[in-house]
Amino acid sequence: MKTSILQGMRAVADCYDGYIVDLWGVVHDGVTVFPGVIDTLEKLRAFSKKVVFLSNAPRRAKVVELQLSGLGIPAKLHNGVMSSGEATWRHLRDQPDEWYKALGRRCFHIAPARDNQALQGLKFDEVASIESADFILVTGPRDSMISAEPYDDMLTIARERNLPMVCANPDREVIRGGIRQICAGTVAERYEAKGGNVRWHGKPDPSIYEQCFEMLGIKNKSKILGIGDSFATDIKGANAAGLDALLVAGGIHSDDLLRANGTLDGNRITACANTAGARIIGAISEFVW
Amino acid sequence: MNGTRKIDGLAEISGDYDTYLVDQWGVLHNGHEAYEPALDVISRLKDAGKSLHILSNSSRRAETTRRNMTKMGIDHSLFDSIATSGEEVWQALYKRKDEFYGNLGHSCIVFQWGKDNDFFNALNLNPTDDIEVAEFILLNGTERDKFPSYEPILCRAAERRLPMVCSNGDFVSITPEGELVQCPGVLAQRFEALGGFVRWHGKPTAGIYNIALDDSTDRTRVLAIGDSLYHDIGGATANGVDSLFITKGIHQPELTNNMGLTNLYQHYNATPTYVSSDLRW
Repeated sequence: MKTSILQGMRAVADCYDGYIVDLWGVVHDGVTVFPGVIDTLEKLRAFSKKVVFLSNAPRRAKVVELQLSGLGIPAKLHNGVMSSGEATWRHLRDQPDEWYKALGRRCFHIAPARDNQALQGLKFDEVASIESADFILVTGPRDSMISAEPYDDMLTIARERNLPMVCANPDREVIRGGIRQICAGTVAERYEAKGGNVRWHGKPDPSIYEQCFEMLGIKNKSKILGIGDSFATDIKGANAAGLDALLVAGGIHSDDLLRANGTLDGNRITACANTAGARIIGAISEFVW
Repeated sequence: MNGTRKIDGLAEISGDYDTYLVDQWGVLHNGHEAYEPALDVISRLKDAGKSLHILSNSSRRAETTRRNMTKMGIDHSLFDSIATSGEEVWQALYKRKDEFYGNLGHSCIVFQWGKDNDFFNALNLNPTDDIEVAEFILLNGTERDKFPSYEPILCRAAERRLPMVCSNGDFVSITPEGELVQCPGVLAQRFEALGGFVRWHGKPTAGIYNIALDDSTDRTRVLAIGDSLYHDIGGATANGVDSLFITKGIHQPELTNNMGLTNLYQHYNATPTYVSSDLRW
């Protein structure tokens, strides 16, 4: 069946009270807020709709929210921000299950230098070697190691020692300023391929949506729509959480989904969704009203 | 809509911020002499009752930095505090509170720039040139003609699984003549790439922001000012504060080579709140 191509959010606004919206690729590209986004958020607000942003950023939610306001989206235009970094931090703090309770105290942290505050406010000790660690936290690639292979040595030692790993960003890669670089998910995937034990946080894991439902204050899932540009994370995550999902086709899949004249091709979108095993109610080219 | 706003002077935005985190090199001075328009900004902010803090990736202790500021004609009493990554490291080596510093050992290879006796005062360290007896590497500085001699030491240190403490994570500095010079951060990254572990200090890591800002500070009212996208701007964003990017600093050569600001922000994955050519009122 051919995917419905919608002109903008106004086509679905009557059907849903709450919206769980991805950030990178839908709202901004890290530098600029896309045209029409502020207008759309203001319109949704005017119709008493609620919006929560859900990001696979490895940082705490309050940091993501401040970055968002720095880019020009003030807190009054949404009902909160949830991130995979926040979910990770809360799991490390609360240790809600046996897996977390068994982690131990000494953490080997793989992260870019600027994200070293992931352990702040927690009772873990950061250690300098895999040999003396009880578990591994991967927040992102080290600034000096942005491809996967350099991690093999440390992952082999970790596997020999049977260390569990916590992954704060399930995304596999990002293109930044034209340079392809890995995200935490690639390190975790490589560890799993070696037989390592990984606990993943963030989309498409449905548990992170529970916090979003609370922030929206909406219990009826049929009144909530998940919105994003990635089949693997945003759409499959919304599906797994029991929500309808809307694809923003101008993001990471845009090369596959656009006709030569730049318009969306509903047949190709359906084919991509089927390949990914994802269900969508329709597609919009950009997050516009 | 672009998230970054170009400003002509700090007067345009000073009403929005109560606390300022100010980089030294490239913002207040060029390593030799102070920038008068920047000092004018500092004294106007002080007169307006703002809270001002130096946030520097210098490996020198805060007291040494204070003396150097005076030598360049900068009145350090205008600042409520001086936080340097060197001071952060000194305190960590002195107190040895967390697990990493508790287990670090005392015998170390020291890479430094010139002689910095102030730093080693009262620290119970045994500097050595013998990589086989060293327990860690202390990276306080680099000398440009010595880079080739660092490599075999780093390789052996990585084999021996020695950790490195880096008190200056800058990658480059710029001379008054506009020439870029490699800084210790390059060596620390090389050590990581060899499989070594680096304990980074200073911007963009959280520790130095937590020294300057206590828990009661409203971070939405804090502005960080600096010329390094990776350290000053990326660090500000990661630590929840707004930032002003000064383009007449270490990135000037890239901008002169026609790299646009947006490309530069994407390249360094750091987008400032504001941009200005230099710090002036």
